[in-house]
Amino acid sequence: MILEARDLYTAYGLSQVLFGVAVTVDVGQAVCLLGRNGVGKTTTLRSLIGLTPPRAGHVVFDGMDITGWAPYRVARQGIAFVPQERRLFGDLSVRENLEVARRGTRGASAWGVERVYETFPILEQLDARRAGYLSGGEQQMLAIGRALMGNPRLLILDEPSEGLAPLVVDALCEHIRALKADGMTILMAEQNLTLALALSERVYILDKGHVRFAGTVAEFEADTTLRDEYLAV
Amino acid sequence: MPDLSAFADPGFLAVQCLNGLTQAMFLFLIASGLSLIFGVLGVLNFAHGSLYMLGAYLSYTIASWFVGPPATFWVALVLGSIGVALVGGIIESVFLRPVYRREELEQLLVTYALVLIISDLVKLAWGAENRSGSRPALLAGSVDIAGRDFPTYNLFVLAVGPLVALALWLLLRRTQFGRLVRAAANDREMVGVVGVNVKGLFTGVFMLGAWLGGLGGGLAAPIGAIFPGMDVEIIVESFIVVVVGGMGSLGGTLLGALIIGQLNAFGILFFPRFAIVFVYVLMAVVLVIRPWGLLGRPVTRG
Repeated sequence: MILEARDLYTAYGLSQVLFGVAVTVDVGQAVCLLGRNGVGKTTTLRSLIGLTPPRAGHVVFDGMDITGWAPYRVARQGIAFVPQERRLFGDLSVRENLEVARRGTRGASAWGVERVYETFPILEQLDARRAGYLSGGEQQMLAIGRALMGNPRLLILDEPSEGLAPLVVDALCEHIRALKADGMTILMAEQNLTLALALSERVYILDKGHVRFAGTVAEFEADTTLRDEYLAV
Repeated sequence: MPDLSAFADPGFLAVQCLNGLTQAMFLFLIASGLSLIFGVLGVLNFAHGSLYMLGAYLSYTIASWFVGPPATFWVALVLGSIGVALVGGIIESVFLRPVYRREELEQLLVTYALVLIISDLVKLAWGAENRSGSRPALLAGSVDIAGRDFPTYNLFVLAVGPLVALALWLLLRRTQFGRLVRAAANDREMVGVVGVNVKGLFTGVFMLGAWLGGLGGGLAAPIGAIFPGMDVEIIVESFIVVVVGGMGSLGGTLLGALIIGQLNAFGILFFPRFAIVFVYVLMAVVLVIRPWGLLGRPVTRG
């Protein structure tokens, strides 16, 4: 188990969003949080990486209790986060967005600009372009590339397919699959069920700040009532 | 009725233009630090003029410590500006860090309090009377510009301004520190998410801005009088420079400084006692037509 979060209670000011959420991720797995808008998926992810520290509960990463750590320390510990809105540095070029995120780690397997460009060849052609002028799909590739620059052991993706055309989602799916095949552990929140089920081993269903279901993809697919109750719009 | 005969004298016009450029260089040094700090930290640093004043006094005092050696001025300029940078580091980590998440008005009050505190400390340490530094021997003379004298020292200042602008540009464009500074201006939270300690970065940016202000003060010490009150005098014009040029834009700050410098230099010929009016009118016009400044961009702050 590389990540274990227990009993997360998180609030924004007076409005409580999470009520005892628990999530675990094993090494090499892809795990997906499912649920409608506003059920606490993003808040769960933000709680894990310290952007919105939980009021109660614990986050243990690779044996280290990282609850409430500042985001930069969580990042250095090996967790990378790709936010829902990508949030690239719009005034920086594609290359600069990657270089900003470069961490000291050296070695043959370390991520660098060249390796990101090999993984996402489209980015190499856009090298000097300002990130603010990229298309949605290009932005998502760059956001993932930027996250990889920190040589993470856990990659967290918040709604990676949001706002992307179907063909772009297919390409994104292949990229994530390739990263997984390469040994990357992935935790994501996703509304696109097809994408989520194609990539994940295990899923969690969140509803009103509670985990309503936790299990394998097969278990989820066996119980058809889950979709109607927690996912159908 | 203003005396317009001066306009027929090319030497006078040239010198007046150079005077405007010299003032522009000082304004650029102060305003670039102000703009950098606002762009990254989001804090409007009212105390930036105080850092300029501190730079002038520190350089003046350090220079007076070693009378004699020829390098006195240069040593004082370097040590004085570094001293101001260190003071800036303390100001940022002690006074500003607690108010980043507060409202802008509270931040403004904190920096205004710093103006008063530094002003009183300066009066305590140096007294209220005017002082003036001395120019280095190398730059003590003057040169002939179309039949008029122009101080050699001012030519030196004219060279320093563009050099600092170039160095800043290279720092922001070509180094990891510069990339982080620009990234933090876009989205400081994400800078933390990619593993950068934003607190340290903010302190570094404030120290750099303070150093620029201190350098301006150190350079001004041998020219103008050093007096308690030079802080407020410079901060008002620096704000105008930044507003006209565009908050957070280095090129805009340079352009704004050049325009204000010339406007002051030539405005004074028409209305000797009200030259500042031109500057205010320009600012008002810019605010109406391009509220984000000549080279700035409309702000969408997240």
